Amino acid sequence: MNKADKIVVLLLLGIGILFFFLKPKKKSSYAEVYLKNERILTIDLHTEIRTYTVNGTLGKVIIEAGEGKIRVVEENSPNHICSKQGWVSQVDDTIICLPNEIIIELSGKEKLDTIVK
Amino acid sequence: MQIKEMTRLSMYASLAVILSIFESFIPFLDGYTIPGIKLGLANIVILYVLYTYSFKEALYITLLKVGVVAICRTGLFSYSFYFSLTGSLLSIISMGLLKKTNLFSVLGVSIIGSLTHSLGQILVASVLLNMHLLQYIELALFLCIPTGLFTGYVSKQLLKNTNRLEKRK
Repeated sequence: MNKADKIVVLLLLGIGILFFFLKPKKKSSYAEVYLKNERILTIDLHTEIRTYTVNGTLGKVIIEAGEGKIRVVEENSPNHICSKQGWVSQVDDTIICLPNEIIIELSGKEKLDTIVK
Repeated sequence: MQIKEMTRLSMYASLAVILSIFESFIPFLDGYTIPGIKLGLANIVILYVLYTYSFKEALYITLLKVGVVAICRTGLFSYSFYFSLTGSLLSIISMGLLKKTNLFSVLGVSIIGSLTHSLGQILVASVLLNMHLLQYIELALFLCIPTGLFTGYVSKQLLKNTNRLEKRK
């Protein structure tokens, strides 16, 4: 490893850390659930924790949401990535379940559509 | 291109295909644990070809690898195909350019290759899926260092040892 390599590694680490600290940390208030790029559910996160069920490509996807955070509890996919991911709460965080073709995106303000309260 | 060279290159291409398919069988290494991040074993072969031959041959191998892997696993022109095509092209072009500057060793070139591969995929993902993927850029920045170092180190050893073999002939 020569000098230029080390500079590159340090630079990348530096940018990574900068990214980590400069990222806007905003609590989200709405979660949008997409199935195949189509919004099927908008969840208000101001409420207490509730359970929602949506139908993904591979079966039911059970979502728990409330108190500003959301997670996937149960789903049928080969690797269970989205249920392993756990709670997410920051604006622009995403839970992606590609096998079920479901994407959950957190946002700061609501985009008016159907809201489940 | 001589037949001998052609045979060698096609062997390298098949090695790259095998490595990238093999990688997807290991649950920890494939893109499922953290979306879009892989160890990139195939990059070892591509780096090796880039250093023993030239940019042109490495580009051929990259394109062959992307095409064959897509046909074998996900189908041509699927989302995954575009992900890997853009990532691989960006990666090989930036590695070729970096190698030309002669500033970096194999390790540095490999790290940048790893980073640009992820960045290319994130770029396509944000266009195709229309999402905010800032968090993945951050992940890519951190994770490209260990994965890049690993593939770079393997290629370095490979280059060193095969050079010794060539000399002994």
